[in-house]
Amino acid sequence: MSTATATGPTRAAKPRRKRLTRVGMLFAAPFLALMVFLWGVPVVSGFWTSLTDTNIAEGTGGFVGADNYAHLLTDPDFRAALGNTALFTVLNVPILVAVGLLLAMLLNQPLGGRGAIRAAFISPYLLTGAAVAIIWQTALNPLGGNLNQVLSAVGLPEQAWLSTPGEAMGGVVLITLWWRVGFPLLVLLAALQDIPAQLYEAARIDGANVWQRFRYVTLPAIAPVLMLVVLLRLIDSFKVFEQVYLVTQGGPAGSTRVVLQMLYETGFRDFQTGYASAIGWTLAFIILVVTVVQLALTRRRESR
Amino acid sequence: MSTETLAAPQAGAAARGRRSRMTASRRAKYLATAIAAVVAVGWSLPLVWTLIGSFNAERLTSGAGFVPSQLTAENWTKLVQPDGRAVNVFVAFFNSTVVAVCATVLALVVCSMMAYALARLPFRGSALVLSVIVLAMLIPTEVILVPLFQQFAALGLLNTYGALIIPHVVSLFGVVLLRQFIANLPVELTEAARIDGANAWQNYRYIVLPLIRPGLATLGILVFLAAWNDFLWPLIATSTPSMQTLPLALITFRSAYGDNEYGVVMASTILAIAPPLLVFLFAQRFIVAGISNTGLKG
Repeated sequence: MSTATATGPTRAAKPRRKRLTRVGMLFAAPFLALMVFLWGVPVVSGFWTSLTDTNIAEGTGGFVGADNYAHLLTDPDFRAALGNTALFTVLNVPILVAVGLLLAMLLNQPLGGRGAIRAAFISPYLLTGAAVAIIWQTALNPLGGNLNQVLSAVGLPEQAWLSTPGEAMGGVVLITLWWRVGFPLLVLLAALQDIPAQLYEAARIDGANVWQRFRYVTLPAIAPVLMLVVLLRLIDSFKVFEQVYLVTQGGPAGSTRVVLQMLYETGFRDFQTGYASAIGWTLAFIILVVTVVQLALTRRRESR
Repeated sequence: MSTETLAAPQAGAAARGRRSRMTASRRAKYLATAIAAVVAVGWSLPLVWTLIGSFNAERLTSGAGFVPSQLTAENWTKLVQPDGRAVNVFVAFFNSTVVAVCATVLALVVCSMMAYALARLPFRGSALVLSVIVLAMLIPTEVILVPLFQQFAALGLLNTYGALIIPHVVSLFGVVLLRQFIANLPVELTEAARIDGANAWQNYRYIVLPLIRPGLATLGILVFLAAWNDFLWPLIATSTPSMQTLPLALITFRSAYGDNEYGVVMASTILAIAPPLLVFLFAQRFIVAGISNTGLKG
């Protein structure tokens, strides 16, 4: 700071601007340094690593160009993991957003004890995935888990929820719904509360029924927020990990193994760092494409 | 809205007097409350089961049932004395507390300083920095796990508190959020302080920080929860049991006790989820604001 005055100011305004610039840099320095360390360098070095056959266990690390990416395209393990992730996403996003919207509309009614009811839906959102996994593994336990007791109490056959290949993904989706519904619920509730009551009043006077009021008043009003919630849930679904890794371990028979689990196992169990980096970048690319497409669709809707 | 009309078809509602309309709307309110309450109770059942299970004398889930035949505190005493079968859950609790508290404090300081610079002390390239931050939010952090691990390994930081804390300090969302808060403050406030002789630091510390408290509270809670609940990064960055955070310790407990003493696992789970739920109890307003803000960041 003192050097700024020593350079010999010609105008009064100039050194102050310059000093401000330096002070600004001082304030920004800690964050920028950490961001370079935690984000800048890993992004660059990770991309470089993805172009090598680095294996920590074997000590290799030669440049192989795009070989890792080419291999990914034909790797049956990756295809299976991508397929499972896509299946999870296709099931999870609509269910999560629809249930979140329904609950938000319910909570938007005049209710008694609204705070307590809202808390019941949001509290799972605050829990660590490890706790969620343990809680649900116990509830879905084929040996007398509580959900099976409910089923047998109402006369339905008990289910081996998480160990049947066809049902395990359903179990994971169910767990995710319970865990994550607080997010769409809160965001959509905020959007619903922003809709002026006069709009509904006017629609009612015009003779619109419940469905018409939802379709022509509620839906257009919350559309931008709804699209954003869908986008954020899409991104989240592609990164699904804990509830799969800790509940089904990717099983049974690999039917729930997802991309992030494959990345973790490739990089930190098999130590194929180069290949794991390529998986990471491919996942990032997919998420980026989904984001751009979704934003473009939203923009086109809005401009219409 | 929907239930209101279910209880009172609009054709009849207009014809009826004020009194019947009031009872109709009250009936609609009771109906909506009843539906919401039933769903909400169903939603909390897994948590209630977990709490009950931690006091259940039955050792296996197959005999547990909804209502335990016999209650015991033995599961909780086993947490205190794990008899070498698992990690000490209180060590993990301590680790989680240190990590979450340090990460929260550091993130608030570092992110608010950055936000202040971006909003009020533009420096050469600050506009570019802001766009890089927004762009960086698009890249999922999971993607850089491998190189991040290599970096911490090269610096010998694995199995340290530093490794667990530092990744939570840089919150891109936090900078964007706080910058918005600061930009919305009237310029006259900081200008007046400057004319009174306050330097940039005093302006930041005594004028700006107190005024953006709601933003700080929101960010602080989000960082605390993220650090407390994180699973994948601690799994990668630690290997010694004494450095485990609670989510990792829970899994260790599951493998040590899961098969024949499910009550102990339930007790450790309650211990791990209690702090976030308590934070929620006292700061519901900020958590709600925080989550709603996340949705509107785009």
